[in-house]
Amino acid sequence: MIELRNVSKSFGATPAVADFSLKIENGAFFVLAGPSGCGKSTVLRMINAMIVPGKGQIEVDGQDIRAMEPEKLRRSIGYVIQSAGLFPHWTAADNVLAVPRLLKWSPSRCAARLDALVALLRIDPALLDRYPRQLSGGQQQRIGVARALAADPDIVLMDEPFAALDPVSRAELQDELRGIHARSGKTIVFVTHDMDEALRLATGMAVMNGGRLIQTGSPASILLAPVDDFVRDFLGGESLQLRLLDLVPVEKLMKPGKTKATETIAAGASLKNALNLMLARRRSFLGVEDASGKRLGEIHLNDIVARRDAN
Amino acid sequence: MRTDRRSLIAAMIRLARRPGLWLMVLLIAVIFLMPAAGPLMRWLFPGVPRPVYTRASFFELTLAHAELVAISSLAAAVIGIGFGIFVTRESGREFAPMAGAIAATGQTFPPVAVLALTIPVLGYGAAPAIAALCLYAIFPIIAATITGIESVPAPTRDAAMGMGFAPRDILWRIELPLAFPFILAGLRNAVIINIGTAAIGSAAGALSLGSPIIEGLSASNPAYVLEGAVIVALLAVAADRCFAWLEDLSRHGGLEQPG
Repeated sequence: MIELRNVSKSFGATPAVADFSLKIENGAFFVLAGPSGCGKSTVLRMINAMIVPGKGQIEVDGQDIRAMEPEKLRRSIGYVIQSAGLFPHWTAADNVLAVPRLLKWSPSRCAARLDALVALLRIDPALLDRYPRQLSGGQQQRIGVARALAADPDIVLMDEPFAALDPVSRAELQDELRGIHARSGKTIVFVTHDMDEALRLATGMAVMNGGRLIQTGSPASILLAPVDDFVRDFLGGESLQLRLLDLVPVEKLMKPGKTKATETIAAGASLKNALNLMLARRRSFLGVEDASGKRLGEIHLNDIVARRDAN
Repeated sequence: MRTDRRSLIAAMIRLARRPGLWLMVLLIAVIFLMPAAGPLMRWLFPGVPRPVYTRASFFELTLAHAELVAISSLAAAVIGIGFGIFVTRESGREFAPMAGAIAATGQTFPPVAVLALTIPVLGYGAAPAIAALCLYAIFPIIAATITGIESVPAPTRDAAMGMGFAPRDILWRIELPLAFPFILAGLRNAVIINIGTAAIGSAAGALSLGSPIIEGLSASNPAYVLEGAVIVALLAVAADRCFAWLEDLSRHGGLEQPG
């Protein structure tokens, strides 16, 4: 568990973070969201002691991080930044193995770990001998994520890791990361200013503004009940209802039974996907099928419009 | 057998194509054949009584000259790189503007003046020459070291710190390897300048390729001046080729792969 208690930090006379308290449970995919300059990166960088808070206390797994040697703390926490920050004079493989080598793992253990990471992140093995500048942005950040996971840390900190990528690479890496999180049970703390990304990934999130914590909770609870206009605007103002649809899977509003529908949608797709398909095909209802193509029931436009949120 | 011979020939051709190699051969030939240059010098400078400098062999002079350059450059490298590292640390950062200012004005100070100022302290001989050369070579090396370390992208340093590299690891594994091409270029500059400047060391009584030049000047013997100057020039060009070769080597040796 990560706990920040009444943490404040100023750079010169400008306060970056003010009286900030937050608990992040083990296994959470926790997103710190907010406009640029809101202090979210500062909060992230205080967790691995890159920035020392002026006031307050930070605990990782019940231990005050001030009592720990900063290098040791950081080696136990994965770290990914926006531009990947790969070492330009090291090959991709050497970059991935940076922390295991700092921890003086044996060469055979490093080699085994490299194989496991290549499989986990679906890295093309041919890329391993290349230098960062010979890789695309998406490939670089894939290596960057592998590097953060290399020593199998329980916590991974990510500072807008996918912000500079093209939409296709970004979506791919988001899916990859969500899968890894679901399977590994790692705690991920993820900074972003992109609400779609936050909603797609988060199990818990905090919205920050002007160095303060404005609202915290599950993405759905924040979407359903934004505490003020700032949060409402940040979540998307007019399109807030559409974002909510993105969070609910079709199966939650499905009417089970036989269907004569000619257009079908997967049970795991979101209501937003369903609505989109209805608009595109000019239908008021769709058949619902599972992954194997078996028909489970149907979903109606009226139910989407009239729904009371099933969260 | 045949492929062996063919690859041997190919290797020899590759070697023969290296201009650096031919320069080396030319330099050695000139050093050892200079005593036989009497007729040439007499033809070039008809009025000269003794056409070839004989007080010391040209091999001896070249060796002494190279020694002056090597010792002073090595000392300058240690001090310059060390100081460059110091002013790019958190604790030494406040000295960085000062280092820049000293480096800029330091190079405008004439080496002869440095020599004149060090003789009263260190006496005549090699010592004041080495001190002057060293002082003169430090500045380009400091500047190159600072430029090199500052060329490391901020995200690279940030990532290293965030992953748990200690400051010492960041310096040795990230900053210095990435700054190496810059530092090498600074050293190249310093050494080439020093090879030319070292001739002035003979004004302080040091043995060098400047000895025939200084004596030629005072005895109005242009042949001596030419003999010393030709070898100094060849030595400088040969050293420059050596550094170019080192730079190639460091680039292909994995420090920076062509993309």
